[in-house]
Order: sequence, then structure tokens, then C-alpha cells
Amino acid sequence: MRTLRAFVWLRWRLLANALKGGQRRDRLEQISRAVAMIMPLLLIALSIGSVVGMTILGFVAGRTIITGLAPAPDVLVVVRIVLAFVLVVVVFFAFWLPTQSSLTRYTRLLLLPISRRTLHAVEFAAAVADPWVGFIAPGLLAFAVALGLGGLGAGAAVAAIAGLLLLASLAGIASLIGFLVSWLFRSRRRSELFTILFVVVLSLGSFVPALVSSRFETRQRDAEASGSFEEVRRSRDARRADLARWFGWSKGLPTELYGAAVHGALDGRPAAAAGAMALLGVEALLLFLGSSAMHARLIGSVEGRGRSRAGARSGAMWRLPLLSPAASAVASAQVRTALRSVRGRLALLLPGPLLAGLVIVFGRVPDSGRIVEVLDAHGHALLGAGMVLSIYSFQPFTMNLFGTDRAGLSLQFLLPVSAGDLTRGKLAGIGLALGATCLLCVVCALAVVPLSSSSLWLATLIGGAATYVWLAPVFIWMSALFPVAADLSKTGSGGNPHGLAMLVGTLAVPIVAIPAAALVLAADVWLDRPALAVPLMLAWFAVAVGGAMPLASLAARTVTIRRENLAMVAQGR
Amino acid sequence: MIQALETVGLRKTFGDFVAVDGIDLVVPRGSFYGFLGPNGAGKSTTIKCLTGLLRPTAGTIRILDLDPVSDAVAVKRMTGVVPEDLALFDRLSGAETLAFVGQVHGLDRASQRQRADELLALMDLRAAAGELVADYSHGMRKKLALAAALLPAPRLLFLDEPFEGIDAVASRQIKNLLAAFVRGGGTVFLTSHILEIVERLCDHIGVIHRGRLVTQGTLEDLRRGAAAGRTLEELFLDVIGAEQADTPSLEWLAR
Repeated sequence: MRTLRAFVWLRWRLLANALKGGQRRDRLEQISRAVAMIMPLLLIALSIGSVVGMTILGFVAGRTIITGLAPAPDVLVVVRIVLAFVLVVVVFFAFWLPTQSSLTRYTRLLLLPISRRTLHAVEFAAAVADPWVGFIAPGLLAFAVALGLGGLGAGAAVAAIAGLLLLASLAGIASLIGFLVSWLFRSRRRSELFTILFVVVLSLGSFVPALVSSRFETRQRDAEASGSFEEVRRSRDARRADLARWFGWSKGLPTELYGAAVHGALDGRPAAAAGAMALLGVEALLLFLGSSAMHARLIGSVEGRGRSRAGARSGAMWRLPLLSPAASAVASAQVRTALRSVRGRLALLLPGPLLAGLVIVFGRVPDSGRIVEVLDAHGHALLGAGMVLSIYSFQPFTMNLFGTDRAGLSLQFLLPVSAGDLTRGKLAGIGLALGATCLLCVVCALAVVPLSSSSLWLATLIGGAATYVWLAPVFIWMSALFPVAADLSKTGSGGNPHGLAMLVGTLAVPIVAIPAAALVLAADVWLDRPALAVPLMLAWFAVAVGGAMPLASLAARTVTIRRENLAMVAQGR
Repeated sequence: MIQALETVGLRKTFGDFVAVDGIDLVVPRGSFYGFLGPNGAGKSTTIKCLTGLLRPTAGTIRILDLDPVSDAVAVKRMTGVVPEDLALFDRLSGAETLAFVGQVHGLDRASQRQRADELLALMDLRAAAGELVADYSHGMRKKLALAAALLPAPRLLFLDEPFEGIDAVASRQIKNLLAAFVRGGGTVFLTSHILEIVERLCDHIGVIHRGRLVTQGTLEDLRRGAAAGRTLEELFLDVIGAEQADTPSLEWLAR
């Protein structure tokens, strides 16, 4: 029991620490530190509130059935929805938490005087005490008690047993996913690949419901247009059949089996209830065995660093035109380190395909003809949107120029690199990475909309470059004033810039992009001379260089002044 | 005579905490200077002030007769540093790190490559030259940081615990290399907890304790006032006044 208590405490502590985030040292950030101190208290308050709320909800659900206020199947639909939500939360946290805690946790646990089997059993049992699992336990119990008090003894017994099996299944899911993700994260390369795939699949997968929905709506509209009642009915049946086929697997979810078991008991179908409970029991057992196997694999694996191929990266630094050798070296290092990080790869890969996906979805939405027409005639607008999205996606780098290098920044401070060369090199490096992202945006945009006018597309690209140049001083000032030691292998808050810098960046981008957009619009729509867009935009680019460069030099002085602070951030202090 | 390094009243505070309290260091050119002190004495803070990572609160620093604040870039061209946190990009390979350092120092590509190859071979890192630093062990990182510090052929080397985490073979090679560097006219300013190494390598010693320089001079100077046959460790403990009586007995450990 003492071991179990220790593990329950450990899980709650890790959660509270993950919510608290890293230490911050800026004066402004001391406010956010103070706010972070409130998190554990907030967690306790939320926990108590959730437990009380769930208990009341469970009891009310049971009483509603007993008093006949609502039919049992209807009440069970609500219960199933609540439980399905809990299941989603369990899965989410099971994925998220291992990515936030230290990788050495399991090595440390292995050193404890506990056998591996006991270690797994205790970890499994401790998962029941996780807030998202533990909160529903009183609710399930209260539901069963309410049924029992109302005289539905069989229903109460089934609800209680199925509730226990459901808790075991949820703990099994949390453990299995948690151990799997922890195992993935024992290797740097494996973890980074997993994170990138996870985010890309999640982002692009978010289009699937919209695509499915648009397919249904199109079919429904066609049926209604035919004027035949039979057609409409057939369309609805087909939709129902499609949904049943696609979501048939959901009947096997533990929460659904719980609902089926209780429904069977309340409906006087003991065989159905027993069958659902048996399945739930089998699932709980399989999840326990699966998590045990995964746990064994996790703690048996030597902590690997996933070595990269030797000799694969022996290239020299680039010499970039208009930059000194030192600034060129900084730029080369910036591009390589950025695009080798998880955040950098996501920033490179996501904007183009996301935008193309959006256009495809829009194209399938009924009544979207006008949007499609506009995009067909002004495809460069899509490219412009892609470039703005790309600038936003590079915010972890642009708004935190110095905090992302960590120890690498110390190296740059120890070498003969002036503040001017450092900032110029960094901005050039990020500009190159951003340029690659914009080229990918061009390819993706051309895949979904026609090349309306090459002048306008070229002008849009130049406009994007001008926007970046205008933003350069903002990047330097914000990065120098609000540096944060960021880990770009993390997709969570650990890789984000300072909140204020992000806010300023978010506001600055549209302000600076509007003139460029207006120039393209003027040449395209008002003047109806697309060819004029390129010279206009080149002029704007020249103005940007003339205006932003002195400001950037001024901002570089802030770097010199804030050098000590930046050096300490680089050391993670 | 121009010193390799000289400080007058160097002081660094963090709020109310005084990390370095007015120290006057004198490191002669061509010397192997061991900078000693217990944990938290102010060694790393001093090195950070000397290398420009921290701005001194008070006092002056001269490095190779230059002011490291006003002539920062010029000073850095003549110095190499292996700091406490090693200062390496995680996501550059070993070879790229050396190429980066070479380019920043303005070396032409051929000399850059030749020096990098030789240093990687010396540090036994040639096979791992293409791997990302993130995948290096601590010892490999330390050797790479040392290679990066040596690549531009500096005249003054700052080494913060260079032998920590290094295997015996590499340690021997590095010691020989550093000795040769000093024989060739270079100066080494080194901090280490391994007093045997300091005793064997260094000809000058400075001891810092609670932010103050408690002694400084040649090793012979330090020994002169002490009883014959005393090791550096014993001398060091005497100088910092470590009191064994304060150590808890931990009687519960006895079986």
C-alpha cells in the first residue's frame, strides 16, 4: 500500500509540475510564475469540484431512471456521452503526460527495491487514481447506489461490477498508451518522428469530418433536388448505413460496453448484460496484459539516443552573399538547427498542406461556388495566406531568436561574433527556412488552384519577403527583451516563446502584411494591371529594407545590452 | 611584462548575493594556471565574467592587454573557451560545429578542414563526426567542446572542468596536448576539482573561496609556507579552512 501511495503521489506531482511549466527569470515573467504557483491549488479545487459534480451527476442519473422522469435508454445516452468524453480525456493525457515528464523517470524507478511485476501492477493501479479516471469512480458508484436504493438490485449490481471493469479498462488504456509513448520517447529520433507524425496526422486528420460531412450534404442535396421522396429516404438510409459501418467499432469501446451492460440489466435482458460485462472484462484483462508487455519492453530497453548516421552531416557551413563569414556561419547553423527540430519541421511541413486541405474542404461544401471562383481567379491570395501562416508557424524561432539555441547561444557569445552579425545571421537563417516553407506553399497552392497570373504570384512572394523584413526589428526586440529557454523538440508550451512576445508577433504580422496585400489588390482589382504588381512590390520591398534595416541595427544594440540576461537564458537559468 | 590575464577588484553580484568579491587575478603569459575552489566558491562565475558571458558588477579585466568589454570581438579571436555547459548546438554534427567555429574565426575552408580532421582524430571523434551533438555522450561533447576551443589556435584557453567525464586515454592525450600548448607559448586558465591533475599540470595556482581569492602564486610559492611533503589537496584544504569537525557522523550508516 505504501508503494501504491507513493506512486499515486508521483503521478499527481508530475501532473502538477507539467501544468506549472518551466522556471522563468524575467521580471515580467515573475507574474506568470506567481500564477503558476496557483496551479496546484487550482488542481485541488478542480478535483474536489469534479468529484462532487460527478457524484451528484451519477446519483441524479440513477434517480431519474428510478423515478421514470426520463426513459432509461435516454439517461444512458447521457451517461455514455459523459463516459466517452472521459475516455477521450484519458487517451489525451496518456499521450501528453509522458512527453512532459523526464525520460529518466523509469530508470529511477528501476533502481527502487521493487520487482518489475510489482512495479507494473502498482503503476497500473495508480493509473486508477489519475484525476481523469478517478473522478468518474464516485459518479459510477453513485449511479449504482441510486439504482440499488430505488429497488433495481440487478441493475445496481451490474452497474457496480461493470463500473469496476470500466475503471480497470480505462486504467489499462492509460497505462498502455502511457508506457508506449514513454518507450517511444526513450529514443530521441523515435520520439521526434512520433511527435511530427502525431501532429501532422492530427492536423490533416481534422479535415476528415468536414470532408465526410460535405459528402453527406451533397448527397442529401442531390436527393432533395430530384424531388423524389424515395430518393431522399434512400439518401438518409445510406447515410445511416455509412455511419453505422464507419463507427461500428465504437460498440467495442469500454464505455459503450458499460452502457450496453447496464442497459441490458435495466431492460430485463440478463444475457445481453452478462455478454457486455464479459467483453468488458476481457478488454480489461487484455489491456492489463498489453500494458504489462509494454511496461516490460519500456523498462527493459536501454536508454538509447537513437544515433544518427555517421558521416551524414559533415558538410561545411555556407557562405551567403551580403553577409560576413561570421553572419553566414550563424545563418547556416540557424537553418540546420531549426529544420532539425520538431518545431522547425512542423513549421516547414504544415502550412502548405493545411491550406491546400482547407481549399479542398471548401470546394466540397455546397454553396461554396463563389469561394472557389474567387480562388480560381486569385490563387495568389491563397499563397499570401500560406505565407502569413508560415510566418506564424515560425514564431517559436522568430519571437525567441536567442532562447532556442540554448547552449549553442553560449557558443556564439564566446566566439568573435558581433551582435549585428548574430542578429543578421539568425534572421537570414530563419528567412531561408521560411523561404523553403513558402516554396512548399507555392507547390501546395498550385496543386489546388490554377496559376492565375504569374506576376501576381511573384508579387505575393516579394510581398511576403517585405513583410518578413519589416518584422525583423520586432523579432529582435521581442527576442532580446523576453527570452525564454525553449526546447524545440517539444510541441507543448516548453517550446513556445514568451507569451508577450507571441502576442506582439501575432498582432504585428497582419499590421505589416496589410500594405503588401493592399498593393497586390490595387494592381489586380482596382488598376486591373497585374503586371504592375511586381514593380510596386519591389518598391515596397526597397522601402522595407530602407526602413527596417536601421531599426534592426538599433534593435541589435538591445542584444548587446541584454547580453548577460540572454547568456543566462542560454544556460537555462 | 604583459600578462595573459589580469583583473583588478573583479566583483560580481546577483541581487544581494556576492558571487565574486573583488578578486585580483594575475595570470602570466605562457603559464598553466589552475583556478581552484570548493563548489559554489565562484569559479564558474569568474570564468563567465572573464569570457564575457557575465558582465562584472565592478572591477576591470585585461585579457592579452585588451579590454574584453570594449574589444570583445578582438579578445575572442585570441581566446578559446570550454565553459561549464560546454556551449554546443545540439542539432549540429561534430564536424559542422567545428566548421561553424572555423568560419566564425575567418579560417579558410582548407585550413578549417585540416584542423578539424586532426582535432577529431586526436579526440577520437572521427567516426562520430557526422552525428548530431544531441546523440553524443557527455565525454564526447566535452572532447568536441575542447576541439572547438582549440581549432582557431587561441593564445589563451579557458577550461572549466575539462577532465570531468573524460576517459583515461582521452584525458592523457588532452593533458599532453595542453602541456604542448603551454610549451608553445599559449596560456591555460583551468578550473578542476581533480587536484592531482592540477598539481601535475599547473605551474600557477589561484584559490577562490566564498567569492574571494584566498591565495595566488606559483605552486612553489604555495608549498613554501607549508610543511614538506604536503599534497596540493592538503594545502588546498588548509587554505580554504575546511573544518572536518563540521561533518555529520551519519552513525546510522554503521551496521
